[in-house]
Amino acid sequence: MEISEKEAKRMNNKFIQFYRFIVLNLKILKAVDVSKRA
Amino acid sequence: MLVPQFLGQPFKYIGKDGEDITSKIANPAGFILVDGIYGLEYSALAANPDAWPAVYQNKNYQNIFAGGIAFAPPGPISQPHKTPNGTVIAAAPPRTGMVSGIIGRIIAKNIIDLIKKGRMTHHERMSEMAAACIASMGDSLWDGSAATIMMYPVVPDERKYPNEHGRDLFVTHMEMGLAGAWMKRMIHTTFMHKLRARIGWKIIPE
Repeated sequence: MEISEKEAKRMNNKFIQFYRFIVLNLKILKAVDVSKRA
Repeated sequence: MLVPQFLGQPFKYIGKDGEDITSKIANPAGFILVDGIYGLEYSALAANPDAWPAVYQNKNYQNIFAGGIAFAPPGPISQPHKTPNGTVIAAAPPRTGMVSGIIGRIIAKNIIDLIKKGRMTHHERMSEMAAACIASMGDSLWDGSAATIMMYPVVPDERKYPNEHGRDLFVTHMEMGLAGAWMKRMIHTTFMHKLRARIGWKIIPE
């Protein structure tokens, strides 16, 4: 897979990546919440 | 990711009276048989997520448990394929990392249960389990990067999630970027905190 210049910039944009960090944490929280964890 | 087939250790298991009990404990690849339903065709296995083991205990020998990479999965987690020269390509379920930690917790709690109550009260199939994997591609918190992969459930459950993938599509996701490097750092720090059994370690996921 080749990463375009635009994509590379996006991958290191601090504001976008901070937003993605929050989204990824929300995904993990949902996964932990809905999985069984018995 | 394509990797060679994993194999268990080629032990020969001998019973008390000297008989060979290998077939009661391990499958031909050397993985330990547990409480899953084995021998199903892929289509039957995909339609029945309950065929996946729940307590990871050997049915013949109740004092034997196998977690993580050691237990024998009932089959692949997606449609197996064959190359023109006959090599089988089958997606084995990921059983290292987070999945190992979760199964280890279930087994440990069930052993405690067996000692204290005489019965097991914890169970979690891989079709009920969430997992995350972060592959680092540079650990700098300023210009590092990592691929973050999340799946729920690890083994598709088409009954609960009747979409093309059999998974929760909000959780199931893969992306690359600096946020992954931050996630990796967060997971390293919280994992070490959990490992040292410091305050709140029990609520930190594996």
